[in-house]
Amino acid sequence: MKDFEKPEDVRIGVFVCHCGSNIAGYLDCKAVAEYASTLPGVVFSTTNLYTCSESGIAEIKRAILDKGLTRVVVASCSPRTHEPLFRSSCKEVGLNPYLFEMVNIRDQCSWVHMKDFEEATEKAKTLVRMGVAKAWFLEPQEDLEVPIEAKVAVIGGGIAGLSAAESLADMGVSVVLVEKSPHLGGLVSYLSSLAPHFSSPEEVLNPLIARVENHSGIRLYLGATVRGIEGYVGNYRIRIETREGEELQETVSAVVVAIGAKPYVPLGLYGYDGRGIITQLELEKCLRKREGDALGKDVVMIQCVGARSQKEGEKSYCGRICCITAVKNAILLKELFPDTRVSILYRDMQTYGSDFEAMLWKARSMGIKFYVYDVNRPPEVREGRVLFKSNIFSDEVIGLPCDLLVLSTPLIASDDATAIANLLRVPVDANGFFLEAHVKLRPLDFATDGVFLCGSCRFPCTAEEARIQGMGAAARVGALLSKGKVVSSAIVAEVNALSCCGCKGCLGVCPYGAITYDEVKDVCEVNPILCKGCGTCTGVCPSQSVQLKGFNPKQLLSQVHASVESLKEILTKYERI
Amino acid sequence: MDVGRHPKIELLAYSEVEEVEGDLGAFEVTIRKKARYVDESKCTGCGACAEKCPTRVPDSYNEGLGERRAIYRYFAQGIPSVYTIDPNACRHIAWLRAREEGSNVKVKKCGICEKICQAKAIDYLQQDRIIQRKVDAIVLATGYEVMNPRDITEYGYGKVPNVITAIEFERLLSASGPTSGHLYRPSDFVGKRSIPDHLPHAKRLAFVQCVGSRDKRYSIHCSGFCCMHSIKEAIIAKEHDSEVEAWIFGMDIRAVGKGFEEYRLKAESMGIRFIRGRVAEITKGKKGLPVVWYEDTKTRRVQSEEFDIVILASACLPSKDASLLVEKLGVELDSFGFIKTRPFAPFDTTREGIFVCGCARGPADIPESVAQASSAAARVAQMVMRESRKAVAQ
Amino acid sequence: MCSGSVSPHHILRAFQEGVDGVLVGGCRLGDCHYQTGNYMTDKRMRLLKGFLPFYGIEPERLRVRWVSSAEASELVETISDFTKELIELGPSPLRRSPVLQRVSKDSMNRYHENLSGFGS
Repeated sequence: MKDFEKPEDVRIGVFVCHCGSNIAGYLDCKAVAEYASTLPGVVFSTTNLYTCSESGIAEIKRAILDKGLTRVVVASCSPRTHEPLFRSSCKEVGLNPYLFEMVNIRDQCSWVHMKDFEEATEKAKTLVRMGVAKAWFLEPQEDLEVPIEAKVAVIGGGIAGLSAAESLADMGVSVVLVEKSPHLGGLVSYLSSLAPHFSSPEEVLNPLIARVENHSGIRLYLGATVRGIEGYVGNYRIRIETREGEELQETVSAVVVAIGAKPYVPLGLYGYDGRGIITQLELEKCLRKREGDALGKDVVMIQCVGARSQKEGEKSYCGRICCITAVKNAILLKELFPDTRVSILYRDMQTYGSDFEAMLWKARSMGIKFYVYDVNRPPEVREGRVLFKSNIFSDEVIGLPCDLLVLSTPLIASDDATAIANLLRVPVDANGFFLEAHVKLRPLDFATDGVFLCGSCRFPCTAEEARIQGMGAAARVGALLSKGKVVSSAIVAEVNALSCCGCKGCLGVCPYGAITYDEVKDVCEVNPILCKGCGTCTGVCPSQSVQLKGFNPKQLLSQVHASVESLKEILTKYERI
Repeated sequence: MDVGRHPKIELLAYSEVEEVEGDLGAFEVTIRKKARYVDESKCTGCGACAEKCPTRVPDSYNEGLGERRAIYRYFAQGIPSVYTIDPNACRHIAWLRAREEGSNVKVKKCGICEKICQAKAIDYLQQDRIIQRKVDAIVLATGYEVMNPRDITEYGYGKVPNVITAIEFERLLSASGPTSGHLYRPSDFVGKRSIPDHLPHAKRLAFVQCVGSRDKRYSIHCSGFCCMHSIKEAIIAKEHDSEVEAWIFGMDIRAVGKGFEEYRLKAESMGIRFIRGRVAEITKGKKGLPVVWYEDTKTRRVQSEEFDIVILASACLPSKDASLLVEKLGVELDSFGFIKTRPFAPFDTTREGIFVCGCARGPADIPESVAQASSAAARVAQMVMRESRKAVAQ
Repeated sequence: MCSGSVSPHHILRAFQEGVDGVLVGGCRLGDCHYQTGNYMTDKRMRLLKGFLPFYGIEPERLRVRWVSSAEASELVETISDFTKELIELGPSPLRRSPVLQRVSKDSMNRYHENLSGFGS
């Protein structure tokens, strides 16, 4: 059977790399190059000691010019490391970089088949034949460049949003800061002091708020609501309803989400009543006013209320900061009213890191008592006493007198999280917190380009952590905007409007929301700026109407065909068929 | 990879800062670029040299559990992707040095890598180079060091076989590690020229938390990330081999990050056991295997249990090398020995223009370190741009 | 390239050409470089597997495996095991039967013709 019909003007050059002895030690590079020269369309083939070395690159460039190559195939190592180099070398002598194809005969051949020289050589030939087959159908492509303005919207004026806004404005970026409530500062402004250094919230917030309010680069919308967000990186249009009820629009290049979280209210748990049985946040408010005498002599705190629980309506995660808050408030109570007896009932004491652990040691040295309770037999509150069975010491019931019971509840996702997530088309996790692009390596980015997150809307965090993340998000935005343009790879999906039947299969699977449906034309369309080139859409299209540039059906099926043909030849040769 | 390729980043690996002069906006940094004995511009990273190098030394990347050659790459994915000769191990360099000094040459000359290298990159006579760079600001990201648990004698590290650190265990689990990811007891293969065939898999694992941390005798601080890496290692070991039994001994299990509690629950549902308390002692049992002694706080009895491998989650400590550098820079340390910062100016050291991020300022896990790195960059941009605006105004 | 972009077109075409088996490899579920691509692959491949008997192909000839790039030994094992099983299964029915062989050849030629006017 004949191979695919090749286009007329194709002149392919094949360069087979020895990679020192990495390839040449395990297969016959010369034979591979000779084989390549017999393939249709190949007008030049050679071997190099190192194709990536200066002399190897020079040879490619010379061959493009002298032999009039219109396609270059390099058979060497991994495109992950070397493809950019070869592509840019082609470009330097005027060959469109997307007319380059790389074949990995090292990682995928010589290194895997070190013990069989002959078979490795045959496989390398097959791989090269596949590369050449694809090269026939390569098309020149152009990367997309869109200029962007240094302007960003920050949603949320808590410590994370304030930190992001301040950093960005100082970098010379215009900032639109939208805060729902009539004042800046968020949850931190309700606290009595901040762990681990007992700094006052005013000390931290006031100068920051003053800098933000007076910064010429920041436009502030207080008491305002985000009503709509449309667009994509470089061009987000945000509809804002101001305090006065007016609706206006701001156009920005990027968006930082910093809407924070809210405390869990333990309705129905441990007799919570907001008076004698209160939450840590309510205690903070009392401590802020330094209202002491009313609090009582015996104070008991219970950790993990509504957290680390599988019960309906409660939260399964650990609230991260509740132990720190309890220890800090216990110390404050002891310092303000040394006669107070404070006990903390906990499951695992989560004072992670250096300063928080030091705070725990301090609390212990001040006489604050710590008890472990058994999660399967939680404490009971009865007639001014807290009764519990310790997890540590057998079945003994411990009873503590209690004038004030403080429940440590976790921060939970903000009521606005879902609305914002829908507007920006970004995901939230099972607990309603925003889901970052990569939990380890990209904690402050969304997978969607141009949208970032920081602070407790990502996951509960301390005020200092929120500040760190706010500044971090600012750096991520800064790195994007400082280039002045968005360059997106040419390897994106494209819809053939003639054959598309508008079934929307592609639209449903696109992880980036890059595909829209045009009702008038009854076809789907790809936004090339949003498309990341994963090709998931091409996998579902029944009519192959959506195609990924550089990986279209012609290019891929020609490779399938070449591989099978080559395999058949090999089997015939070895009489194994 | 992105860093290595970035047009605005000059990567000086295998280099040390000698001296720093100047202030924010105008630092002059003196850097020692250590001799690799390999020309970075010529080396293609092909590895032919290492394959033929006759000198084997313990592989520091694999925590000494495996071997590497005298010419080596620290690890396969390292950037820049070039080889380096370890001058303390290379026979030829020793021979050349001895010859130069005229001392009695006991070592034989070698020079094999020079002959093998087709890129002609080997240069036995390369010298350290001192270079200068002018920069506006400096970010310290010098990390931490893991405590050597040898000091905690009751845990028997270095004496009782198969008591290892978490990092050593990571290398055992790794597909690129000394056992290609097979979980063997170190006593069965360490020190042998190659891994013997048909080794039994380690089935019983004990993870001991807070080794040297949260302990007044050593460091009072919590290292923050060890609970999670122990859980992760236990889960991976169990995924490798479902017969693995893993016990985690800890005072509190600190699973405080996003998805961490869920991860701990997953470990529990897989049958990984969590024992509350601090391990008292690790001794060598009759079969030569480690025995963990602990208090069962439920029954108030001292119990013991034998394991194939005991993994010590040793403390995250301030780096000693970094503290030398810090001294040169005139930057202060906090009471734990980490680089000191101010509350709510979390990256500013005590010297203006010098910033710090990651574990150099205290224990942090990966997402925290990544977030901190970004924030430190923002802080630098903010300060440098303020400075240049000031300069323009003047 | 994401396993999400592997279309049934590619796989059926490979079978038509006469391969004895197709292995689709992807990142581990949850680790997709493109977020969700491999979940789509998972769904699609399950469906396709169900249809393979209608083409006269044993569903065992299509295998989907999630292996990360850092798990070389696992990949080797996967490929070796699959190869062994394919040898036991013997040549693909599309290769065994001369009639089918001819049919597939004809249909492929038609496919070529369609393809040559396509996408340009």
